[in-house]
Amino acid sequence: MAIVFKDVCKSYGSGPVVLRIPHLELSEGALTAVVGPSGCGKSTLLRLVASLSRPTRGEVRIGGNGARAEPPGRMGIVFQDATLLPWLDVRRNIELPLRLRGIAAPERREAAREQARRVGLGGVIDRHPAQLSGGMKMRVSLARALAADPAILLLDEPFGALDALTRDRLNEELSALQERGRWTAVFVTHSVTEAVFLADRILVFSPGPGEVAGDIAVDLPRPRRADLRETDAFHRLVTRVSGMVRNPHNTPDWGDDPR
Amino acid sequence: MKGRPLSTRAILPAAFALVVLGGWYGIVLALETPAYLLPAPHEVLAAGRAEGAALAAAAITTGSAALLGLILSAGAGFFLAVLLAASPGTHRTLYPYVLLLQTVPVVILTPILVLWLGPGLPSVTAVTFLITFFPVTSNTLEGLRSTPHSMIDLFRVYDAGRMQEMMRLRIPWALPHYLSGLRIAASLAPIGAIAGEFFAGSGGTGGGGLGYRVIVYFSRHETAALFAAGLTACGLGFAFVGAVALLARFALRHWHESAKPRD
Repeated sequence: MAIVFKDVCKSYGSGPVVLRIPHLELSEGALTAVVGPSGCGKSTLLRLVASLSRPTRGEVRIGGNGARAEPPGRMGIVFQDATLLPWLDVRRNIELPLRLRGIAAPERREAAREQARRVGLGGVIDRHPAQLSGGMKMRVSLARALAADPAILLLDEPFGALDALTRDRLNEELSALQERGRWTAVFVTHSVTEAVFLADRILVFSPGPGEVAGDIAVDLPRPRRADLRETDAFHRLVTRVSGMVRNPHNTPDWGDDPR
Repeated sequence: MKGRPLSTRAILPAAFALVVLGGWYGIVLALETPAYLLPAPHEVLAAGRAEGAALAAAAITTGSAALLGLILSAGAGFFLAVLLAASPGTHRTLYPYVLLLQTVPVVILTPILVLWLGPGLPSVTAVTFLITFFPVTSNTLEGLRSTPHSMIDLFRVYDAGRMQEMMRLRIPWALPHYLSGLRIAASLAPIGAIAGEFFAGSGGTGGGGLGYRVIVYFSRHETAALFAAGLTACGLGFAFVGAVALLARFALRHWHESAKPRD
């Protein structure tokens, strides 16, 4: 399901414009990473797609409709904190979107078990969040988003609070899941290496007001495995994106595709 | 404290009790205080033994009213909080009156309640309710209003209705707050019941509660028995708070750090 921004402007109250996107199309089945410094409107963009916030001007179309017209249950979201309900065990946490949609218990139980298995949580399905490590909590959060059978997957710095090793491993797992699922995904992150590793396309945002300052196609091969991080192509791309993030306004426009 | 055996945990409070008892005896012996002002500990014990049956019956009467009042608070205080949290409109409309009810001194309301409900259990229960519902309501309300925004966003992304949001997110989230409100209410319940009995405790079945016994002992200048009544009330309060603490520990066992496996 494609996502199209048309003449979108967002400000809060009478405050300054925090995000301005004249035109942007996120194509179906691609993972778009959004990077940039704090306060550049990355999360605002995600909230607009999720209909958690409405544009002050313009519109966000999803699969041809305005964001509000999106049929229920077709989005999955993962936040930086795992936002697990502490009173529910892992299985019930994963089931949550299905339960809210009114799906019968046997069916949602089966779906939860399947998702838990896919993210490597099969053995801890009866535990409560207090009994899990930070990385495992994020896995539950991811499994919950996938259980919603999303056409669109929104990830708001999901691995930002994790240690580097866990983060890398979860990146690899998410990449493998993405290759099978092919959801239209928007991944907000502070980490350029994470963005390059996961994305089909990277949008670099600049602050004041938040705007797309760079748009880079990531043409690294798939499937992406850990050793991709050792390649020259990967390093070149990381260097290029990092430069853009540091200095968005002084960088020449690289266009959609450097080739 | 966690993990230490009970015997070690009991030593310090027990030692402190001995120090207090020693000090008490010291004052009684050194100042030769008359028994009607400050009886010695053994005199309190003797009075407690002599009045044991009366005090036990009174504790049951007071405890029943306190328990009924607390149960009413636990239910009504909770529903009131949900109603207040349900919309800004209900909060604006009702909350000033909840505060108002809390600021009217109970000693003024008690005689009115006795006039309306008659003396005995109903009015004592009503006084207990008035004293205990506010901590339940205000704590629960705080819990309902402190649900993290990210969790509410999560529910909105999954198209949860307001009812689902309340039942599946905000109410469970407020549970620890509710239970801590209930713990405060539990410590107030026997106090409320005894205060109610000063006005309303002489009637009804079974010879009156602790509040009534206190009035009787005071009129007879039986200070040792007054102390014994005070200790009985303490015991009642401990039982109430302990019961709620146990309930809270059970209800929150999965949330708590203690649920984490240890290596």
